[in-house]
Amino acid sequence: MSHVSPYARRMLRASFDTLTLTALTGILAYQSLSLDRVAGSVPRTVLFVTAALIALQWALDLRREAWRSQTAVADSARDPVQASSPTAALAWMIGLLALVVLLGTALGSAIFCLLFLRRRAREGWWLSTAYAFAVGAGLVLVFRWLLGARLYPGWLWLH
Amino acid sequence: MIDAALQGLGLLLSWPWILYPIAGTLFAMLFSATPGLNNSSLMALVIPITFSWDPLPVILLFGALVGGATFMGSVTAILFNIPGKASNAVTLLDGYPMTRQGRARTAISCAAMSSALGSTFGVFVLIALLPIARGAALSLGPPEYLMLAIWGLTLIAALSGGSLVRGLIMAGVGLQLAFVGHDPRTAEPRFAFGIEYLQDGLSLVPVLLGLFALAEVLDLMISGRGTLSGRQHADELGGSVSEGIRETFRHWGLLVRSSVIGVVIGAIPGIGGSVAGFVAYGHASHSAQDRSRFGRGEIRGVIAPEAASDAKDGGALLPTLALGIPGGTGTAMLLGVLSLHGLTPGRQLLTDHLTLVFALIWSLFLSNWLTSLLGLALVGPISRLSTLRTGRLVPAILVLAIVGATLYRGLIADAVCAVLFGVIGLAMKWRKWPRVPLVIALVLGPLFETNLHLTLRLQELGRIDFWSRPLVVVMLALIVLNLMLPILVRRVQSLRVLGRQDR
Repeated sequence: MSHVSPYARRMLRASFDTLTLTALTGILAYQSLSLDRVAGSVPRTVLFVTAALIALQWALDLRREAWRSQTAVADSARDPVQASSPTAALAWMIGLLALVVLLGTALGSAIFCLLFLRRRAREGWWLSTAYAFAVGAGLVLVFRWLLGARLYPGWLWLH
Repeated sequence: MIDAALQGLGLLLSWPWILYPIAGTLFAMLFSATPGLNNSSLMALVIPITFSWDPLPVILLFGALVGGATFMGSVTAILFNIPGKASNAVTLLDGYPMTRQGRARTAISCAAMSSALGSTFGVFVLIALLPIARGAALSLGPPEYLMLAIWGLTLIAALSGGSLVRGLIMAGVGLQLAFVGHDPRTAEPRFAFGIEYLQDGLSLVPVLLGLFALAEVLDLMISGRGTLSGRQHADELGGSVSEGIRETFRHWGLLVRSSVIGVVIGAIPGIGGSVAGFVAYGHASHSAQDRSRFGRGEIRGVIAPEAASDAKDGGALLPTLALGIPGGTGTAMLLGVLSLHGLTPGRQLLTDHLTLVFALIWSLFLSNWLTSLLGLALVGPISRLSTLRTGRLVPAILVLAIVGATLYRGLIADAVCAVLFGVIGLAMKWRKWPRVPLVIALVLGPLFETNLHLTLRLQELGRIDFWSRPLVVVMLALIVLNLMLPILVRRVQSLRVLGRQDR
């Protein structure tokens, strides 16, 4: 990427959303080719209109970016400290999902709450443990006993 | 109609059904008074719990959730200058200066009374217009429903996100997501990519949980705020409750006019409470002889937006219940919930389940009054909610969202889907892509496709002449107007700017 000019990089950044949407539309368009005339008629029509709109939005984004000054780009560059935060937030969410898949809904959620409160919220042991216990017990009480729903038992216990 | 209204009221007031709107109102109050959270997140979290319920408790609960507790967002707007949701943003213009003048209780009680009276007006207008809407719904055929779906989509796309093209793209993407699964006529799998999970279609619940609950909670985590409002302590409240109530009745003319504005704006899909509030505020300031007091703690600046924001809920339910066209996220979720319980808005709902429709309307009515009365009584403790530490709230909401997704069909894949849409929702929020057109297109997708096929088939068989139906032509004109209006408005604005520069 070192030989790519700053202008081209800016244009690429401005086009990120529309390129992603173009890729999505392209995949769906490719899939729609295998559909017969009846099943594919409406999706293909909507895809065609959506693709045209994405192209229009792309042109609008590029035109806007072309007008923007170099300083504005420098100003909008993200702080690396802030940028790491979304990754951490996503990691916590995926961590919860992994714990629920592995250990089951009640236990996985309780352990997640304990870890989150201790590591991220910097709460004390007493509050974190009580919170985690309340969440685990509350899930079983409300969903399993009161509502009769089936809570996911967890991959580790199933296998 | 009157019998159904009375039966609906009887159902609402009977034991144990009365508990559902009360519980819904209490939860809605908590969520609305908590900055960073909103009713859409709450509704998304509640949907999975209600799967095994009968339609009546679901309707009573969602009647309270869909429009109730709007006033609670104004409490944080008035006390901390932080609106609970977008529709409360106008109230802070005069509400917060009143707090700084030591008149917080006056502002809050005035907001509570205006909100309750505005919602009462909206509900009674809805009841009065329901017979007309019912007649209209019965006279519509597939071509009209098709045009209504397209009209609703273009209107929401045009009004919800600032950019018309972005809104339309999201509506297109939402329709594509609605096509995932099977073709309704040939049962041929579509866009399933050989994945078993996608062969039944994309479920609305994980999508809603992801786009609204998870995206919001991720944003809250990333915001890095220690407490929800960014403050450590709630301030002492001044002023008097009775003064606020007296002031509301003294300006009854403004209250009625603002309520009319709210109902009319609410009935137009996609506009929402914030616009109703701003228009009513604009009307209040323009019709006042002493405009200079607005923005400096003028009580009329609290009455007008509060009455309009709550009256709009009655208006918003009209196209949702009569035509199946949701006005915003809340009504889109209501539509989804009704479909999950086998209730189809439109002629079926308004003929076969009219009692349930009235139960929903009365639930909304009860919820708005309950919010105002409880809100007034509990304003002190509620104001302390916004000093709640973010870190303590986030894990509970994350857990509820993930568990809610798995509860729907007992599939972990639904939780994965919710997480995926959580990330997409966050990216959309940050990159300013509107989420509402996507959700509404996902809800309206089946209505759009079924009526398109029916229209084409009826046209082929010579049973209808599409272009000779007056309502179709009117709807087409409205669709063109929706698409052209933002462009024309922008063009006129730029010509005005150029004109000023020339002078």
